[in-house]
Amino acid sequence: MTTSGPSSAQESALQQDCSAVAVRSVSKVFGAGAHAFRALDDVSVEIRQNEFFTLLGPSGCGKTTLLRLIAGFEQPTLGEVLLDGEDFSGKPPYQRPVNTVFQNYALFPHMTVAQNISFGLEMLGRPKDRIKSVTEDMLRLVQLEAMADRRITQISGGQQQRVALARALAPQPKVLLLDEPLSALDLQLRKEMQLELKRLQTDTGITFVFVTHDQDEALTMSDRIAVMNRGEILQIGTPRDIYNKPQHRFVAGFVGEINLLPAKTTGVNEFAIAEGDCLRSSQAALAPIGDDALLAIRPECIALSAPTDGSLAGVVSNVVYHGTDTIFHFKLENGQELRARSQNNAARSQTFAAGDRIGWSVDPASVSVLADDPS
Amino acid sequence: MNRAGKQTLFRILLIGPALLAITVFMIVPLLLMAYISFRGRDYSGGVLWDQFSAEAYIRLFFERELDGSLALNLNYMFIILRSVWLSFLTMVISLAVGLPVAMFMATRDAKWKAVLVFMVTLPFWTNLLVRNYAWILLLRDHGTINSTLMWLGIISEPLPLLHNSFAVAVGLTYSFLPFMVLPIYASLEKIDLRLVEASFDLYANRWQTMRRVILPLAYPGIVAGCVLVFVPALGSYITPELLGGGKTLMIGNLIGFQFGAARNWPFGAALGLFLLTLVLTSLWLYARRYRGELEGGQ
Repeated sequence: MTTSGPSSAQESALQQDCSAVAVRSVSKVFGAGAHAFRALDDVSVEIRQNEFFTLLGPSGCGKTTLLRLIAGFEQPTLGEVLLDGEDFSGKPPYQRPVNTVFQNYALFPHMTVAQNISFGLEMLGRPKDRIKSVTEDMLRLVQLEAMADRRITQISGGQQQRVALARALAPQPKVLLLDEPLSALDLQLRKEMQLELKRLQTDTGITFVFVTHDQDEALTMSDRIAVMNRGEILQIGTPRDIYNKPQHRFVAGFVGEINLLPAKTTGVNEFAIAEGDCLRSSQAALAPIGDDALLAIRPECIALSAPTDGSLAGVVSNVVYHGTDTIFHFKLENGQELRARSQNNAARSQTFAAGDRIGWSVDPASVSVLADDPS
Repeated sequence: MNRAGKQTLFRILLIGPALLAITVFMIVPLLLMAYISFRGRDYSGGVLWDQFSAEAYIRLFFERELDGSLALNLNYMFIILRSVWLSFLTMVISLAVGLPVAMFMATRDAKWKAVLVFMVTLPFWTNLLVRNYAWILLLRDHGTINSTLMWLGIISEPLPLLHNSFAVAVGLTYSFLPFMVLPIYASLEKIDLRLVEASFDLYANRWQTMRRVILPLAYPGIVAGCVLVFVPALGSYITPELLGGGKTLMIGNLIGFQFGAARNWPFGAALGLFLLTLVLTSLWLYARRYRGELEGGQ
């Protein structure tokens, strides 16, 4: 396929430097006048080559709109979308080297499984024998060789999902867009497909842009995650960053369970949560000394102990047993309630009952300082 | 009475009215028609009820000479052939015009769709007879079209637009176009727009998307539209009567003539049954051939 020569080698080297997808200052407004709705507000993001990138957010946050802008189904009101460094603004979807796995698969009901998969290659005008061999490869990749001549209505939801995936991968796009592709599957199948998707992404080396509202899914599969809310990207980072160092109240609340603690800034990285009770964070305060601050601590980062002098104190109000772990709800003197998660381990049976006085501590590295959400 | 018996009675009572209506208004008249077609002809009109005769069916193909021998006469077959041809033409033109119209309607927003569907059905609010007379005003030698063209200096002599096959085809197309548009519109409107997006996403341009995705999915509607135009066009009466000017007879006029001026009820009944057989046979052949495809399209 490649034409040999120094120029093409240079070109491909150049392309490696470019982001697979670059979204620059993109806004999207639907409707006009009083009914105008701003689905995306000045969004910028660079998605790297061969990356599994996830757009995570609640429904209506603009993640699907962003995906549709990349696919070309919508055009941005402002800003530009670059694919491999090339500006594709104004180009229709059929001229973009991008394929989509749709939320409800959108498989062609009047075609067989194999016809669905070969559709893109046919439209690209590939030679017949190549279409045949690629289609067979794809059927093997998603383990549906036996189903090639079945109609779409004659296969199960999980199999339809695989066909949708094979159909989108067959033309070997530069970027594969996935719009909540697992949401229609049951839990067991969803878990399997999560691993399968990750495997496919690693095997094919294609950049995946994955849209979901499921934080578990995002944390399991992604190389990086962008958390979105109300048409804005609030934080971009690795799953560990997003989970351990949330920067916004929204991100902290949306991804996993977390304790939110209102506090007062008392030093560069010192915060008072109550009279005399101080917490340190490895992150610097966002506001000057004396101002309000908001801290976030994951329940599993709080260590409980017998009350001792000088440690932070509380009273257990409720104990909830979850099998692998136990959640202790406890109250501070000022009435603030916190949760601590402790893994159950028969050998280390440290347990408390409701009403017990306890001491608690937390590592400064596990205390996040949050910015309030932009409104 | 036991429970099962009560249920049976209940079922019979429920299905009764429909069964009665079908028997009285369809089966009995059809049997009556078949019976009449095999009776002798009363020259003053009506039927000789006590006399069996196959004369009506012989008359479809043969003419009885004065000495009683039979000679081949294909005049009636020509009229039937012309009816089939004109109906087919009507169907093709209706499809060519109706498909883009249905497509336009299906891609508007909900408010516009309601208005457009209303506009398509609007001609039904006027009597068919009146609408055909309107076409006479448009098509005749000094009618709207000819006088406009002559006033513009495009033609010097009026074009022969009325009282020929062209006029009948125009009139039939006009009358039956809504029957083509509405079923196609219904099937287009059901198409999931995401399938169109998927097609665009897979590098199909507008034309390819139309040919490979939209038309195959609209196929059941297109078939329904074609049947709904072809079948009633084949039996049409008023349009060829008025716009054909008695020269372009169709089978419907022939049947009407037998029950009226010709006073040959058995022959009229035989023609009617022949038309019915023709339509049912062609529909059955079509259904048998395309059964698989029709079921495949959802």
